[in-house]
Amino acid sequence: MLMFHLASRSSLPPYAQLVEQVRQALLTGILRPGDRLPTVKEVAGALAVNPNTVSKAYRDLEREGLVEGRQGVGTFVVRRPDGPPPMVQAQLAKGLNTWIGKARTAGLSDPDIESMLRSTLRASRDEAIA
Amino acid sequence: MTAAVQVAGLGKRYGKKWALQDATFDLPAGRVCGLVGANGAGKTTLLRMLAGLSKPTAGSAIVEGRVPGDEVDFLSEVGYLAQEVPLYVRWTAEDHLRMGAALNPGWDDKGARDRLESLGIPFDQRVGTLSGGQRAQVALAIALSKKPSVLLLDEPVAALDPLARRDFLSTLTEAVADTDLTVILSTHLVSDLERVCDHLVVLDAAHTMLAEGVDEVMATHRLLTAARRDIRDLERDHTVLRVEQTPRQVSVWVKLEGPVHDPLWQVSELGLEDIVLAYLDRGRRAAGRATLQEVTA
Amino acid sequence: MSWLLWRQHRLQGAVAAGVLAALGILLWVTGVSMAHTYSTAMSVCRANNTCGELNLFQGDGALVALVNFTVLVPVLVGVFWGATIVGRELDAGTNQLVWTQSVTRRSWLRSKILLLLVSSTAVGAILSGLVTWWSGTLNSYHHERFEGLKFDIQGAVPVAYTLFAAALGLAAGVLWRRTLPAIATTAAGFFVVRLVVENFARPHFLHTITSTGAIGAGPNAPLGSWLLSTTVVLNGDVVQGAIKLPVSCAGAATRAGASKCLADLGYSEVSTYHPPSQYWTFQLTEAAIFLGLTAILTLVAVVALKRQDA
Repeated sequence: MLMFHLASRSSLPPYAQLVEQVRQALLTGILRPGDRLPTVKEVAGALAVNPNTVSKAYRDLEREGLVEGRQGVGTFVVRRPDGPPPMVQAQLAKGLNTWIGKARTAGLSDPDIESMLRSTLRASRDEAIA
Repeated sequence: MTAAVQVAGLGKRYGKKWALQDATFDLPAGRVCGLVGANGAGKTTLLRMLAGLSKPTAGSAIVEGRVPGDEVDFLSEVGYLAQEVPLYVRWTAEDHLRMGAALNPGWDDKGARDRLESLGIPFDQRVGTLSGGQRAQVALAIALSKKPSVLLLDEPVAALDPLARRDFLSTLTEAVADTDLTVILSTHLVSDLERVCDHLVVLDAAHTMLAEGVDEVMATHRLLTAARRDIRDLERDHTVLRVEQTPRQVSVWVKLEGPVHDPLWQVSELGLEDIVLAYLDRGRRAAGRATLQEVTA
Repeated sequence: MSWLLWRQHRLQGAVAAGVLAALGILLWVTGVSMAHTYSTAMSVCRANNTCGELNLFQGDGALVALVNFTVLVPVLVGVFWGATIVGRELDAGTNQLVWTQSVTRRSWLRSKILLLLVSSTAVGAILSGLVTWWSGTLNSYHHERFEGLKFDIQGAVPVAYTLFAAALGLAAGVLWRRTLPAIATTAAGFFVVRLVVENFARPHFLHTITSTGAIGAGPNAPLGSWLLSTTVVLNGDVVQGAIKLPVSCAGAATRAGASKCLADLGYSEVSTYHPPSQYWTFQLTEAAIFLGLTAILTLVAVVALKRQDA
């Protein structure tokens, strides 16, 4: 069964963290199609988090088609997210590691790297929308 | 859908002093509402009026369609937990459950026992000898087991250690998941707000400063930064909560009433804690007391 | 509600029952023995005409003192039951717990007050019953039941005092919302009211009787009266201070002779008293006063609590 956690200093709101953790679990194979997700009540109690937050996360996942809620039984994983298989993920991670090494050598601190990543992401997202 | 709690211009005066003034908000059912305000802003006064323990001097309150008062119909719908966590210290947890069963028609005895057992709270020990966290859990179990529609909690976790606090909030969120419970929870701990609450009411001594769902709050409040400049346009178009200026830069905490047209403003999101602090600071300034210092560099 | 009352007050009830039972046993055993002693002594002295010199119960000082101490029971009820039954809840804040269950404040208060008044009546009545029965012998012997302390611990008034003290404690608890000031107010208030009524009101419940007679010729008031005052009068004028036996009467051989000598000189004794026939009127009047105060105080408590914030 999947264990959730909430990072108190994350830039993501709680429900987005839950969605992300489910997606990651699916990508890495911890969760597989057919598995049952913990109930809203179980997650709310385990994390001391508002049940609506959990419901919202599950609804988001349902909208993406990753999970399916069955009345009276629970919420079940339907399929893996569209994304690269673990192999490709590992390759991308390796490439990122190399880049980070270069950035550090150039004199960027970790916080600089993070904010560069974030603003670049945002800019590319805005470009994509425009 | 009618709101579970409707408060309009509610106020309470003791002698010449107003402990609460002009509180106005509607709370939809099923929400967990965080009630925030400086000390003396009237949070306890508000909760006691909603619980029917004291009578308003001004304004009105409706809870689950009823005016709070000394009626069985009302009392069985509303649960209340006072800040001091009052319990009969010479009684055991068992005694308290029997009291609950004797005094409440809709008492869920099994639920109460299951809850206390799963927390490892002994039934036969005097509650005066239990830890603060355990006492709070016993009091919460009593309030929940009468199966109210609305639960009012006055700073229930303020005096608890972090672990006890987490346990208390877990019990609460589980109960909310189970039923359609509406909760109003007054607190100083803004970090708890973000996890547990999906509605926010910020009070200051003179009025209600904010009463909205947490999602809306997060969506409409932003931090705008730019090189030092005139902010009058901002003040005209939006609600400015707080301004910090250095010779080079100005930072403005705003509640947006529309889009920001001026591209010179860099817009960033705010965490709930910062939003709440901005309101509380604004309230303090409005009351004419000492403010957070303007940062000069 | 009945479970709540039992759980909260069972210890107090047990203590009261225990104390009354112990007292009851003591008084029953000693009372039977004293009655027997007295009736035996009376039949003997009647036969020998020595009843005027009877000297019984000399060694029972401690017992008599204990019975006299029961005059404190009403104020103890007021302090331990009255002042705490609501006052302690307000002090500890547990009213916020119990008034947010599904029982209304009104019915909670009603039940508490009913319990207080019924149990105070029971304590007062049982105590008075025991003490009045036990005092029967001493009443026949000393004819003292109309006087002071003896009046206070027998008949109807102990019940009324207990109810009054309980209601006083109740009102004090509601008004102070703190146990200690409530206890202090109850004790002080009780003593003050009792003293005022006993000393300033009681003598005036009914008309007094005044009778004049010779000094030293025996009591001018019938046995069992409440003697308010005795003054010595010489030819119509009141004599202040101590009376010295005049020289001319010093040679009188007997008490009766001295008495006649004084009477010849113009001395007489004026007694103002309430006759024993008035005893029960006095008991019921004083009881009625304190029951009236009980009702007023109870009403004050109810109204005050209703108007307070919780």
